[in-house]
Amino acid sequence: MQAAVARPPLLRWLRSILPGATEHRSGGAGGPGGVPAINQLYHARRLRLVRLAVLMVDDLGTAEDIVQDVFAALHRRHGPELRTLADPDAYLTTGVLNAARSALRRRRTARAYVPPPAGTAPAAEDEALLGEQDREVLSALRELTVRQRQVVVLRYWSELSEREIAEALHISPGTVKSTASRALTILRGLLGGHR
Amino acid sequence: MSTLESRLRSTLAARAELITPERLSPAVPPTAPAPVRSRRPAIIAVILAAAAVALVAVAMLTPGLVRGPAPQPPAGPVPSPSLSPSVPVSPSPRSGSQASPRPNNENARPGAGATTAGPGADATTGGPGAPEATPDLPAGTKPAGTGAGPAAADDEPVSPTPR
Repeated sequence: MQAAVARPPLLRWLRSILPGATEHRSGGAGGPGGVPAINQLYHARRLRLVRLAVLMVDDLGTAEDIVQDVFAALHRRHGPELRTLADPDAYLTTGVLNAARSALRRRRTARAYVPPPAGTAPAAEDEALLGEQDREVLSALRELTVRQRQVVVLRYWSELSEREIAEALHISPGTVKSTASRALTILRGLLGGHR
Repeated sequence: MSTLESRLRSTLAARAELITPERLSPAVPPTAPAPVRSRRPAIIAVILAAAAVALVAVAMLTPGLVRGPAPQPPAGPVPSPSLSPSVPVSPSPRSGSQASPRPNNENARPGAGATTAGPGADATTGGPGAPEATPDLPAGTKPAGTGAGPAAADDEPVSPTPR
C-alpha cells in the first residue's frame, strides 16, 4: 500500500489507463487483500446465481449473461463496497429473477414469430445427462407461466419460505401461496402418471 | 411432503448440479470495467492533441494566416502623422533634381497634395507607391543611379541632409 502511495502521479495515471491494470486494486478498504466487497460477493455467489438463472431460462450462456448484468448493475448503483446496500443476496436474487423473466419474455416473443425447429431445446445437451423422469419434470416446468416457475424454483430449489419468496418477487405472501398451488395443480396434471 | 414435491426437488437439484464451476466462463468481477472509466483523461488528451495538430496544419496550409496581411499596411498612400514632421518640406538641391516634377503631379491629384509633404514623402512609402510616379517622370530628368522606383528608397536618407 505504501508503494502505491509513493508512486509518482504520472506513473499511477499511466497504470490506471492501461486495460486491466487496476483490476483487484480499486477500493483499498475492501475485504482481505484489498479486494472490493462486490468482488468477494461475485466469487462467492456467482455459481449459485448462475444455477438459479439456468433453472429459469434453461440456457447456460443466457444465465451467465444475466448474472453478469446483475452484478454490473449492482456495482453501478451501490459501488464496489456495497455500503449502501443492506441485503446484497436479496438484491441479487431479485435481479436475477427479473432479468430471467425479461429474457423468457423476449424468447417467447421471438418464438411467436419464428418457431424453433422441432426437437431442439436450449438445454437439450444438458438434459440428456439426466434421467427420463427428470426430463419429464423439466419439460412440465416449461409449461408454467414465468411467475409460477419462479415460485416453484424458489420454493423447491432455493428452499425459501413464502415470505421470502414474496419479498424477492415483490408480491404478497398470499399471491405466493395461490401461485404455488396453481403451479402444483398444473404439474400434477402433466405428470399424473408418476404421482 | 408429497411425491410431486420431492420429485420437483430432486429434479431441480440434479439440473443445477450439471452447472459446475468448470463449465462457467472466466470470471470477470464487476470492478473490472473500472479502467474504462479512468481512460477518459487519455481520451480527452488524445482529442486535444488531435485538435492542436489540426489547428497547426490549417495555419500552415492557409497562406493568409502566415504572411498575407503583413505587406498591406505600407501599400497605403497616406503616411502616418508621425512621419510627416520628419520629412523636410523644402527639397534639397539634389533631391530637386531627382524628382522635381513630382510635387506638381502630386498636387494635381485630388486629395493627395495635402497629405504628402514633399518629394521625399513618396520615396519613404517605397515599393508600391513608386511605380505610379515612374511614368510621370520625363525621360530626360531621370539621372543615372537615382531612378524612380524601388531603388529610390535607398537614396532617400541622403536627400534631407544639405550638402
